[in-house]
Amino acid sequence: KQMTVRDGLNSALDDELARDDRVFLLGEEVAQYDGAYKVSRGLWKKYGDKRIIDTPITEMGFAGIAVGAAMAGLRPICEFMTFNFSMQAIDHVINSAAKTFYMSAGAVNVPIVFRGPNGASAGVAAQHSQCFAAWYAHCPGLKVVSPYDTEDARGLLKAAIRDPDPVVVLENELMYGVAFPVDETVTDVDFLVPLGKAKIMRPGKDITIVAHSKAVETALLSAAELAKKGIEAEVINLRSIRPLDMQTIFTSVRKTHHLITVENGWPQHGVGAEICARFMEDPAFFELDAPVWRCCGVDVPMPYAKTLELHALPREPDVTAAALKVLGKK
Amino acid sequence: CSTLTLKNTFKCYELEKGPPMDVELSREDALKMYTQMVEVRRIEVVCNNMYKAKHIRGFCHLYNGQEAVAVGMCAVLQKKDSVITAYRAHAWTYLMGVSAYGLIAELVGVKTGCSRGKGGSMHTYGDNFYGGNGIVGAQVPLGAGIALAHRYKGDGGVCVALYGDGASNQGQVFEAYNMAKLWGLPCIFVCENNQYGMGTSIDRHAALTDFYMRGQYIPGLWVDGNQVLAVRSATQFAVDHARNCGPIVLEMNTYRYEGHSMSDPGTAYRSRNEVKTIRSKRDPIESFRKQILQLCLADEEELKKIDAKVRKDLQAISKKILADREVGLDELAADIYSKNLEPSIRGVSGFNLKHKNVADVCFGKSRRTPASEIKDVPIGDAAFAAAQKKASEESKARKAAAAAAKGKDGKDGKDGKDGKPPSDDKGEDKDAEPKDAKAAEPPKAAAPPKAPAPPKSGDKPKS
Repeated sequence: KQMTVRDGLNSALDDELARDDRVFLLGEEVAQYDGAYKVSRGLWKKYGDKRIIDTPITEMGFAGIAVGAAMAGLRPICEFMTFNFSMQAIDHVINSAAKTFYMSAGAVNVPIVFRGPNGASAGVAAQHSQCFAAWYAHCPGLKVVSPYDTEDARGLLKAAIRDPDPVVVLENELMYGVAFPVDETVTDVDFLVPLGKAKIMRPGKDITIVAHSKAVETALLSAAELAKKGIEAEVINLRSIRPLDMQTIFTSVRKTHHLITVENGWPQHGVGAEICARFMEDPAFFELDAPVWRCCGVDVPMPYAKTLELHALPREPDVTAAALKVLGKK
Repeated sequence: CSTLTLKNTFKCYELEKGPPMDVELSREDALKMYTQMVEVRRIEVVCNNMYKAKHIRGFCHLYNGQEAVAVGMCAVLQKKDSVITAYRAHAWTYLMGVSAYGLIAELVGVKTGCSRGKGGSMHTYGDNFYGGNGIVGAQVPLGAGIALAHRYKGDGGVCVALYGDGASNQGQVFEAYNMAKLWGLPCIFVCENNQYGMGTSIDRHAALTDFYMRGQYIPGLWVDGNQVLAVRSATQFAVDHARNCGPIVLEMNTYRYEGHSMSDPGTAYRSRNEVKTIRSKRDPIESFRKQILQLCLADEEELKKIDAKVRKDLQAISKKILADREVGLDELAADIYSKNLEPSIRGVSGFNLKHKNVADVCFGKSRRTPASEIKDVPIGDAAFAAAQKKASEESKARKAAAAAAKGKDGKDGKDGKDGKPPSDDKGEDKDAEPKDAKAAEPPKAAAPPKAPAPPKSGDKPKS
């Protein structure tokens, strides 16, 4: 059976709204419009005004309202039309949601989900194209996940909604319409993907490629290309950015002794940078036969023109080239 | 019970009629509110001194001069209602049920503090009290969200979201107004106008200084925030309005005697004379005192006794707190998450810390420091510690005797024992000493007799 990422998210919302009446969805266009990207399609008709709430276009205000409701015991899902707009509300994500449990010594927890499309879309230029994985993963108190396929999207969102802490779910607009095969375990109402655990998408013994979100696709394409050259790449889909499942990566590198990271975010202080740093501080460092290499978005604001945009993000040939370089092959 | 008529205390905006001008005042209410105002003032005096003595660090915003607002409002709020305020939070914390001990201890940063010393002056929480928020204006949409939760749950509660005149210029305040009105949330927006946003006077920071009108499409009420009876009356009116018709904006016109925070002497932007004049003409405690005496609800002697008792109690509390210790370093990495998934927490150099959940009860319930931890008051007050120990042993002995007397059936007896103590510690302590229930709430137990229970707004009978 095939299911799109969008339907994976939609069914996850549906399941959890049905399961727990404290769960509600609020955001711009989530109700009558069926969601700007149709992720919440049909939910307003099914659950009504109380559970599916259209907000005005005022991120700071409605993110604050969502956090307040979470403090008072509800389980809001706060949709940002895209994560670019979450910058307007970042104070509530960090200062109000992430820190309150610690500051109150555990008196007030904030069971909230912030979700929406993250990363570069197509042809929307700089203000609407950037990855927030590193931003949010920087902050203790938050959990951050970044699903790639339908299974990830459905399982991680459901787990995020059930989690008692604030979780940032970074979806990808370009993946919404992509269908992936799913079996009945994935469509089961209690299917959950554990937060904080990575997934090996493709086993291999020669080099490890770590990626998250849409970059997993790039990594898989590259692995296929490398396979043609007789190189078996192991592709790891991070799924969670915080906590970061380093054990899975360490274990993989003990086998492959080579590592590259792929992400669509900027390089400096990014997810790849953090993985590199973790290697520097771990005995797994000595398993490396070559330096770790990062493939990241180009260090520029996203340009509009098609060719420039295309070259602003890592593509399969970039990753393949990086892998060959790390492996010392041509 | 006496009746008196308020004068020049309200101005309405988009309201057909305001609160009643004739208010009743019973002796009991008068004494309660008077005591609370004196307590709140005294707490700030203690904090001021302890700050100057360097026992309290960082930011510390005092409430002196504004007491009537918190006391008058809490006199009306019920247990089901919620409050969230800004960083000038001491009075609210206390009136919402955190003991003076827990509050001052938090400022001192010791583990008997209501946030175990991890929040400090601006981050204090209690049942239905969501802080203490250090970000100017952030508490306003949070408050609207809490109001949304009240409506969602249908519990009939309202949320009071407080902010200063400075914060009233924040964009998110207007965003919250907008949604609160659209959705008819039971939210009372309260602008505590103390005339200065930090060091900038209202006419220099606000294009419209009628803060009660700034909701535009939300009805507003200007209140003389230095008259506790006016505040009380206005709050009753606002609560009714919020429950039945949605949001309302209150402007509490008041004045702060101290600087914006302890680092502001409060003299650069206003004259000493101004402060002096307000103190002598509009002091909320003095004026209420006069009202009480005029109405013959109490005599001078009685009120003096209250003053003296509060002063003495707080002195004892502050002394005791100085003997308390900060939480151990193991709590540096405690309660970051309510369900932690990090294998280890990174210390300064390496992943060498373990996450720990000290708060075993959360989900909106504030956790009291278990009695067992209070007992470990290390220095001074040996007598106090010994008394506690003795009480605990006595009660253990009593329990044991009771259990023995009850019967041979060991298992049943044991179960009965576990379930029996009607303590209010919600069984959060596995090894909870089955001693007297009172000890479960540390600050109270630790505090000398004082007010037996911190005055909780909810204790009020239904309006």
